[in-house]
Amino acid sequence: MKNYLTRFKFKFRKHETIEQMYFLGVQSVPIIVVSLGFVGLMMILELAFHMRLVLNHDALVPSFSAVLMVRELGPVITCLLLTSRIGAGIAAEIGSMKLTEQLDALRILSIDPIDYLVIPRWIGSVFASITLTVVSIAVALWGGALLATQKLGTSPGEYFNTVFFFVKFPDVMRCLVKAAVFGTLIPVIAAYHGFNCRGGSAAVGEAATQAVVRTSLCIIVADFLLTYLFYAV
Amino acid sequence: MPTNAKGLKKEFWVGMLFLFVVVLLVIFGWLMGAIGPLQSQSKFYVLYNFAGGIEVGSPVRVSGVKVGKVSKIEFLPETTEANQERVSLKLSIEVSNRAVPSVRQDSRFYVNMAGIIGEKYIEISPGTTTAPVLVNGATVRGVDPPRIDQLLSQGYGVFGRIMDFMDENEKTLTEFLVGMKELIADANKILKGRERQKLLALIDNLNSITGDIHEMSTRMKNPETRKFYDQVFDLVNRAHSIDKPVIQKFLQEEGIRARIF
Repeated sequence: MKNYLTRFKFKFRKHETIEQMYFLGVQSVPIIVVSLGFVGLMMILELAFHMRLVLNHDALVPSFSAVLMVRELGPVITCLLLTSRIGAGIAAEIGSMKLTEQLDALRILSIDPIDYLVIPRWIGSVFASITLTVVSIAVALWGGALLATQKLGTSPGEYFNTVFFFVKFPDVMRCLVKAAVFGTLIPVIAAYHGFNCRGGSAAVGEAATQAVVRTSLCIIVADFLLTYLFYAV
Repeated sequence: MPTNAKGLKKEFWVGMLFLFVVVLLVIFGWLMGAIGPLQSQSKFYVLYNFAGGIEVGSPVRVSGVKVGKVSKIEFLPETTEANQERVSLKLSIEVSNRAVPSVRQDSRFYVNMAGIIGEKYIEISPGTTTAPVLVNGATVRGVDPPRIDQLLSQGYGVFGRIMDFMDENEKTLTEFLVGMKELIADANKILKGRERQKLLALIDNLNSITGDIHEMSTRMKNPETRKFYDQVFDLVNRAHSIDKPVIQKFLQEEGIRARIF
């Protein structure tokens, strides 16, 4: 058992980890803010249309938009955007290092490539996905508030009083668990494709593309499994 | 130390992002009512037999204003007697202290629904000002919400019995309806035919008789009439006690032939 557990030991590299947290997290903030701001606006329009169609009543639109953001769109859209931004980069970087034998050089220097390359990116990716998910929910709800005051005639106070009508704090915790799972999938799958890159420059591009496609697919499947586990069981 | 183009350390920006997210989570928790360090609250226990969809975390409102939430729901393993009534659920609710003065011993605890598809919540109707304020930790009996499913089931049963009755007595009902139809037709003929004038005259006479009776009864309520009535009553009572042979002898002496009693 002890030998098995030692396989999960790693050396925490502070400098590389902070670098990755900055690159993956802080530098992704602008794209997340813009994208999820528009998602929030879109949700208000769509939910208002559907609720008027079915119930002829749109007072609960802020509540339903918050539920949708917290349960699904917040972690999923954020992590899909992160996949396209950082997944391809990780796969390409590691793939290039494999082709230029930098990984072999690391091994010669008794540096485990997983420790040196994957672990900091994993920590950075989980940090980025969790923090950016929270930021994305806040931005989407704020964007929704702006449109709701214009389109639905709701006052800001009324909007924020009703926005968490159906959302409870355990839903937010489950949202963060989803974000952490997706944040784990991104560097693991990207690093896998990078480490298994064979051939020339074209292989690096292929690895990056495959990393993004497969990570996106895995995120969607994992989202279904986690939603089933949290809400349907 | 690693720096970005603006000369600030990357650790600073990572730390700022982390702190910003922590602040956002605290705001979310406060908006959802999960945390409220500045609020002081009182706890009450409400007993129900049927909770109607209330869950842990469901809001509690006083006069429509959200002042707390349901913190715990317990199933009472052996039904508990409360005021000679058996109940099976005990809900723990937390109410903000600013609303507690409105919660009195005669307050009613209802299960309401917000809107058509809204969530269920507990509505506390403010009690009368003469009743004392409910103390912290008090146990009250809530008002069970109507069981729509039971009503539908009972209604279905009643409807079924009505249908059975109608099936069994179809012939009788048909005869009754035919008879009613003929009665209505005859009444219609009378109202439209030559007898109509007599009927109208009869109604007019009845009208005037009831008017006269009403006038008479109004006059009889007069104090002088009441006095006269009392005197007559007294006279009859005295006459009743008079001996028959004495009356007979008196009348014979007066030369009056009469057959008495």
